[in-house]
Amino acid sequence: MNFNLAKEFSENPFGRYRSDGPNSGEQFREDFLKNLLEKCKKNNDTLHIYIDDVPIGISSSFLSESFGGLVTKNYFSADELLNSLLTIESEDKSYITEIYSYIREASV
Amino acid sequence: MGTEDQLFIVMGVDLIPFLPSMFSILFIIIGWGVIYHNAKKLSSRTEAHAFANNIVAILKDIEILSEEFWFKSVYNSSPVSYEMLVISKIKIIRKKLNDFSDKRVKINNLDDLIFKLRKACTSQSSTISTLTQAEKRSNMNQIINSISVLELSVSDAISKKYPHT
Repeated sequence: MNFNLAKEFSENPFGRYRSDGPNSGEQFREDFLKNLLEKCKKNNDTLHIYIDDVPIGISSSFLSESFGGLVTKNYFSADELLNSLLTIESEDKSYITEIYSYIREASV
Repeated sequence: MGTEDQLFIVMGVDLIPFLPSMFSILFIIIGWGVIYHNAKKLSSRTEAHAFANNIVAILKDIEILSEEFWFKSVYNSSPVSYEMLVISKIKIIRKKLNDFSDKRVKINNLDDLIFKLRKACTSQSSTISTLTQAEKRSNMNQIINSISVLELSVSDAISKKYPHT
């Protein structure tokens, strides 16, 4: 399953919690990411998230809350996310390194 | 006429009177080649250092924005504004360094350096109102450290590629 962050969630994904404003990491995780990953898990599929259409870039608070939060909230294990359930698509490899590091850190 | 003298006769023309001129031309060509090579090297080095200065200027902007945010409470009522400003500058740096790294000077661990700078600047920014002064200082320390490491990596990579002779 493919998901374009800018087109299907927001072109301005910023902030950690809902209280930080619209389009926060918490909102993305709870309203989109969790459900999409559950569907993928059920169908033995992989969720490919494409992030390059976000024009300015994405803050670490958003990334950490949305992706690391999947593990800290015990929705998914780091192993299942990293091994088969989730891939991040970006020309900017620093984002891929960052997102995977939050998932790993959250499992420690 | 000896065998050695015959060496300088080509198609019946004695080249000995022309030898000084031929050597002069040869030295001019060699000299021109050396000057061209050095000028090209110098120009590439100057361009690389100008590029590094440009990166340092953007990093300085990030440092100033961060000092204002973490120490002077600027944008604290809207951390998202600080995040947007910093993230947009980091994106410019990454794009410039990526092109530079591909075409001119390879910068090691670039993705890691960019990720650490972005993390230092924006991982705690949205919760600044809940942080103590010590936590804010610690965060600013990480930002300065990430900026310094990135600056040094660029400068080292250029110095290795274009050493001062």
